[in-house]
Amino acid sequence: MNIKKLNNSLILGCSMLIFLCIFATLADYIAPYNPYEQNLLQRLQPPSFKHLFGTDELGRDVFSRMVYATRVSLLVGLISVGIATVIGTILGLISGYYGGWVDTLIMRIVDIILCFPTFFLILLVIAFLKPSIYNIMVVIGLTSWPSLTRYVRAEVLKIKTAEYILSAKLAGFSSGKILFVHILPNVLVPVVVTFSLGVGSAILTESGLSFLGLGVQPPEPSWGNILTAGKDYIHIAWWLSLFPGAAIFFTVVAFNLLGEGLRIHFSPKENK
Amino acid sequence: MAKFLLRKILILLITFIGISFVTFLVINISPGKPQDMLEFSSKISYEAKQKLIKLYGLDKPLHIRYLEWFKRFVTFDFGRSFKDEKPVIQKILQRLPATLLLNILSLGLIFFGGCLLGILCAMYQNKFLDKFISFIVFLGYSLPKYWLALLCMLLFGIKLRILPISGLRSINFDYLPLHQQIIDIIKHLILPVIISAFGGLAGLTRYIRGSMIEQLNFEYIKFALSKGCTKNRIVFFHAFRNVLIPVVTILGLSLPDIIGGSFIFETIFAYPGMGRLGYEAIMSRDYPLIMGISVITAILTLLGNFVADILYTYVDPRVRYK
Amino acid sequence: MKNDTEKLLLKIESLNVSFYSKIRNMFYFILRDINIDLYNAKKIAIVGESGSGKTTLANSILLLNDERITKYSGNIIFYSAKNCCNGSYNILSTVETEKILNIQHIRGYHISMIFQDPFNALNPVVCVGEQVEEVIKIHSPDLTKKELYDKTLDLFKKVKLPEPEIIYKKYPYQLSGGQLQRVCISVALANNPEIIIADEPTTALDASLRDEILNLLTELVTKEGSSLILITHDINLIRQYVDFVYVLYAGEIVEYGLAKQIFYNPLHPYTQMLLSCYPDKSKKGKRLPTIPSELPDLFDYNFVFGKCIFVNRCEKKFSRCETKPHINFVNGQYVKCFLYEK
Repeated sequence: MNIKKLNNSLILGCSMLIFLCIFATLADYIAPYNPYEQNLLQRLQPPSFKHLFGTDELGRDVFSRMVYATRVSLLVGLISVGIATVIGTILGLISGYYGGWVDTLIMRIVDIILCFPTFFLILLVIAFLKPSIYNIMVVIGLTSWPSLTRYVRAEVLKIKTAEYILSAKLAGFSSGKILFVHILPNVLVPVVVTFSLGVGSAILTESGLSFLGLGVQPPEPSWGNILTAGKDYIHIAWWLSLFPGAAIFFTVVAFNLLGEGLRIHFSPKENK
Repeated sequence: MAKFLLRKILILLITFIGISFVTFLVINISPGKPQDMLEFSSKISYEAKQKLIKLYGLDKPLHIRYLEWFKRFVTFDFGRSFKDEKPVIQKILQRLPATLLLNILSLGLIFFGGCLLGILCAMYQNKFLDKFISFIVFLGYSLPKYWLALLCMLLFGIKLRILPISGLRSINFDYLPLHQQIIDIIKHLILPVIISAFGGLAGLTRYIRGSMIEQLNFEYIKFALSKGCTKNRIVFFHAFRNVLIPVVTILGLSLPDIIGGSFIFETIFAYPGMGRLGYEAIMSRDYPLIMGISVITAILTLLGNFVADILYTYVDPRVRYK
Repeated sequence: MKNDTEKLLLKIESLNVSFYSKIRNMFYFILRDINIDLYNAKKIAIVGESGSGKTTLANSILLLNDERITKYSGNIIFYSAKNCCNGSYNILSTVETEKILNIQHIRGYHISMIFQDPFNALNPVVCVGEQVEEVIKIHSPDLTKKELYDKTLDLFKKVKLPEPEIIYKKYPYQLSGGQLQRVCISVALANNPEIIIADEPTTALDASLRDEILNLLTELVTKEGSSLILITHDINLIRQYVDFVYVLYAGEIVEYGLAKQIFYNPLHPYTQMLLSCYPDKSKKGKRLPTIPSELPDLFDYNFVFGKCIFVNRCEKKFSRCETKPHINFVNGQYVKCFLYEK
């Protein structure tokens, strides 16, 4: 692949993500302190050379906690959207290809989920299931597939009538084979784009939950739960609000840039 | 038209039953039971606990309980809150106006702000203004809104001290003259409204920009130009009427996001609305209250979508006569 | 008005129009050295195949080409017959502020236009009555609602739309192509303009409607004392409907003269070939000829500015054709070809 052909969004998004991945994988070497180690004598220290992003209410080094939290956020984002993508794509393929009552049923469910505040539903489920990182992934995954299903279905409806699908049918391919071998590759681009954009919003949801105390539970570090402390100490410790939020922002921008870049890269019209 | 309405209402009902059942299911199959919560308070004897379980029918099978709940729901009886024994409906109605105020204001801001910014971008396509707004919109898309809320609280509330950062009224509200009371409420509303509108605003601006650019390339624009229309009339009358049609649907679809967001924003700003009530209810496993709030939330969003559908047929003549 | 038939209305003088191509990053001249005179109460036609630049020419008169990529040079001078405009006015005037003010005044009031595709020309979400009213209202803002409504209904009657009150409230998608084009004609006629430009008004319609619409249009134009510029690819139309013809090929006018003369005695090889391509009774049972090769590449400046524009397709070409021919006056018609050079 010629690097000159890639657009700026794609390059920038990728570089930002590589940067984040380095932090996540090399957390043990990058973090200057143990993220769990409390030091009450050093509590709520403003940023200095010793503590780059200051310390929190228990005297833990905020920078070290944020480095470890990168892992959590990336993991939650990728896995939950992975679940949503699998469900969304398969249901979209089925709904678009078979039509009839299956289609009606799936689209009805999609409508129901789309017109309900999913954040409230997630909040509800997490509150009752006990907040843990696995529950969060599953619940975000189970509630964020509908828009993808709609998208894939619309694409399938467009492709379904194409000549080559017809000839595949005439050649006697089973409908399963047609779906996954002939149709799926054609909807892959929008799926990948939606995946990338979805990771961003999943990370936002996760940190929102953690922020409300329903996500990753302390002492496990997460950008969201560091922000919670930021809210409690907003009058005296601005650094607790500023840095973790900036990290979330950075990550979400990275995924959105990547998604946008992919969309532009694969759209024949804007590529010129 | 009547057939169309009937169909819509039927779908509305099915959707509503679906949502309320899912909520009911989630609450009831989850491991934490309200009677377990009661165990923490040692004051309650075993008999008292059994009485409570009987009272709320917690010993009956799930579907029976749902049917019973639904029967009572039809008469708007959501039961009483576990926490303070007040009727749920009363608690909700007390908080509802504040939430409605917040959500309607932010919906209005999204609509007017989104239209204005989107049209500006389209009119100055690829010029500095367009690029600037598009850049802000892109950032706004990725911004964690609760973080923005915290930063705004830091800046306007704590550093500059020009805006209050919590509640809907100041402590001395009752002693203020009327016009100052109004100013006081407006000041309290500024941050929550702007922040809860932020995401939707970014989305709508982006949509309107794209749609406007598309419409301006259509042939009917050239025809309108040939009639002697000014550029403003072309944009604000001819193209905008066409752009507006899907906007209604988009606003309807963004309603769940706004209402969902109010659970976070109302908590951050200590805003006395239904969102915060819901958050507190979830944290204390106040079943009847949770059910009540999710039902009201569902009704609100469904009604919003319903209104959007009706408005859609109103703005698009092609649907109206079909 | 009908007495001073020799009054000049519109003079297009050495008009060049170029578009910017983003892909090639250069301008290409879609129209070159166009000269057209339009006299009061005359009907002229501009004939050419698709790609010849005839729609661009129509749009240029009202500056409707995409302003971000279009460059004009030359003059389009409009001599108003109505008392309000002070004498002559150059549409391509470079004084920026003046241009904006006047072109909007001219559009729809002095010069109006009918488009190719009536299905796309009308705003899909505004009822047709309102769209006709709009053009009256813009140019006479003082009229009351009732007066506007009555005027609109009168216009609908003029273009022979049945039940004008009902049509008034209809939306474009509810009307047929013929009805829509009648609505467009009524918009064009609304302010009794001096010039009406009709850009292939029948191409998008059923063939059976062609004569009906064109008859209606020319009839109304004659009655109102306006002038007509008919843009068409159909050279057969010129004999019946217009007085004067300009033949456009690849952005240049290759021949012009009285309609009947051009039709029965074409001089330019292109016009001759164009006429021979159309079916008529004498050619029954025979294969229709086609013009070989394709339109020239407008990016090739050497060809476009250095040679006869038709040289690559011409059957009668000779050595001189590798240079640019001048316009020659032969038997009362003008032709840009070396065959007629004196």
